[in-house]
Amino acid sequence: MWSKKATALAGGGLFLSLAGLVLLNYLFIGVGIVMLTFLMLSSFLNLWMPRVAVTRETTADNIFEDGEITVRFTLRNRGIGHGFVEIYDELPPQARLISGSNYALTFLRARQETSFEYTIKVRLRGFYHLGPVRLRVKDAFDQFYRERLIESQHDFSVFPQIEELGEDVVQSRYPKLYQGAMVVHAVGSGTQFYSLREFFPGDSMRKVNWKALARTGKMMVNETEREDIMDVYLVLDARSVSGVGLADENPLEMQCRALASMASHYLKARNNVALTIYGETVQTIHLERGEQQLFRILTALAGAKSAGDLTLKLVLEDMLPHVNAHSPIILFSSLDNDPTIVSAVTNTISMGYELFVISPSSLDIEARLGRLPEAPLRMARIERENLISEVRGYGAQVADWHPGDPVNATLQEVGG
Amino acid sequence: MNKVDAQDADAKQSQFADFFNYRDLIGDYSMLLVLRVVATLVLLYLVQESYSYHDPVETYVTDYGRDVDPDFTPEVQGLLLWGFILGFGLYLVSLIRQPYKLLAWFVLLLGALYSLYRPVTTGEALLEDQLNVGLAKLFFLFFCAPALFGIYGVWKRRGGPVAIAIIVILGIGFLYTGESEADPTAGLMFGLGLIIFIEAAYAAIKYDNYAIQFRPQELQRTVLTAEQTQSIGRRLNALLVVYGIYLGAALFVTSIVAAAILEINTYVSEYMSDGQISDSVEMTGIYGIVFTALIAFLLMAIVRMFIGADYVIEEN
Repeated sequence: MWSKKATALAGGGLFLSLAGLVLLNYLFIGVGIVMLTFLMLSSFLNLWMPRVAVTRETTADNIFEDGEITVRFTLRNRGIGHGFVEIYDELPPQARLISGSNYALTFLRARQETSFEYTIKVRLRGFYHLGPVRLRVKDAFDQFYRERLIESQHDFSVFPQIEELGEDVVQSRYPKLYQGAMVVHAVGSGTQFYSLREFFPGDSMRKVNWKALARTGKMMVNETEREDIMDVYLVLDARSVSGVGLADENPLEMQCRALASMASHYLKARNNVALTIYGETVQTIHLERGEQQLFRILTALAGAKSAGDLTLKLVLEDMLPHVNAHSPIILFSSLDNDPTIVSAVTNTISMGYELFVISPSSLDIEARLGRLPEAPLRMARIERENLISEVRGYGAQVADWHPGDPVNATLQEVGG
Repeated sequence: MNKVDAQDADAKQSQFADFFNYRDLIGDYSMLLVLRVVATLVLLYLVQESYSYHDPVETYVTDYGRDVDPDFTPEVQGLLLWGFILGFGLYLVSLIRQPYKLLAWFVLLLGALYSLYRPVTTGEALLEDQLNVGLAKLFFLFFCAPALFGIYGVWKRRGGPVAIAIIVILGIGFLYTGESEADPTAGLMFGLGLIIFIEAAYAAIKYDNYAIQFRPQELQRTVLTAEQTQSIGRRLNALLVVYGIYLGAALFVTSIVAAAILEINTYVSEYMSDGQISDSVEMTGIYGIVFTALIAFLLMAIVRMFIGADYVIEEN
């Protein structure tokens, strides 16, 4: 293909030659002929272009928010030609280049192999892809080129950021008395013997293993295997109202981060965790445990979008028949624009479930953005406080989460 | 230099950088600076060459200039000097950061207006005379335009001003009223100079764009480590060396082929003892050269067409 430069050179050369002819000016003719000759000779360079094979490798398929992914391109010239090669890998607009560049310009000799890499950072959860790749082989003077769009896309997911939680933030009053199929090798409160350790001040004398004391002469205590395995049901409100605020600071983003942290925390402790996301539709990840379950939950969270307006009551009515008795249900919702919240909470509590609500305040986000006038904001705050008080009055534990507060502290609030 | 002195120096440098984007002038890579200097020198040579063929004094513009100011004489050295000063000066002003930049442009505009309007006679200068002097200065500025736009474009790395410079260089030839050059090879060196300028200016823009992508443009200072900067510098040097070799070779072959096209008719008519060819006036004239050039390009195009098979560029 002809580049703009080549077209301009050809047009200029032709014009000068003809103008020289008309004006009887040797200078114009000379310049025109030089330009056209240069162009014509350049077209011969296009004959021995490299045959480029492209390979793309990435360091990860899944990263967490603010995580980095390094992409390495290898260009191999399989032919004996040589020339300049440009390559451009299209990035998602949310990605930020940390090092290197997604564009490379290089000169490839016969059979030469070269590589370049770049690192991007993605701030927001979601599903993204790298590519397609634009490859351009051209002569030294950028006059003639061959271009190809390689429809090679590399999909990757960005999971919500996980924070390490200090201790069990939500304790079930009704732990499961059996461990299920998977043996839990963790110290905790229970009846099953796990191991012996030395006595430390503060240990109960009832835990002292007297036989071991007699045998070794040291105070030893029994440690038991934890049995407080829970079935935890996490419910994420992903209605359109949860997207109020900024792209990286809105109730849905806050909820996703808190939910991911909590799911990770419980799954690490070998609990069963289920997830329900509601908004436009209801998406359910059934009760399961282990790392695979965490991956499933994180993937579902990565794809959560604020849309729809399903009510909480409808969702819980559909969900509760499948929830094991007395299991804790943790709702992540800003509690906005849903007239069924109170009745949904009362129904759930009356059926014997423990309900915890983590509620990011969308009003605080709006106030920080200065979108709401003072008087309506004050009224909305009062309404929200009343709603939270009412829900608390029915027995649900509610954490009123203000933007900027750490996830850990907020979750401790309901746990305490 | 102790640590405190180094911090003070850094702070002063940072304050200066807040006022004036000197990093743009120096650049991060010496090869790119060299390229800009080369493009500037080639441009000045080109403008001088152009004016040696098409003397600005013998143009329609000068005729108009003398209508308004009988002393109007655009001298080549003066045009080059002022073109350089104005082009480079404009570039330097463009490096001043906001909000000082606005002030600088305002001062520059006032200076330009004052310069155009300033009365040259100490006595009773009529408004019309002053306007005429201003008009003559505008004509002078027109002749400065190739160097002005060319230098600004090269240093600012903008293709538009470079294109304007080339158009004005060639355009002045159309306004020339003197006797045209009679030597068929007159345009050879000029044409080669033009190609070198186009390539050097284009390379300065292209490779600078390549280098700048590693540094977000809004940042005053590079965010790359010294090692990364060196690595990119090495890559740039390698690319520019290859590019230089290609350019040198292409110019060499171009000069030979173009010279052959321009001269072949003269040789043919000289070596033909008698007959239609040696007697042909057209053949050694301007029509003959253009006709020969057309035949040469046609032959090259045919050769290129037959050996230029479709090429696979990618295997994945």
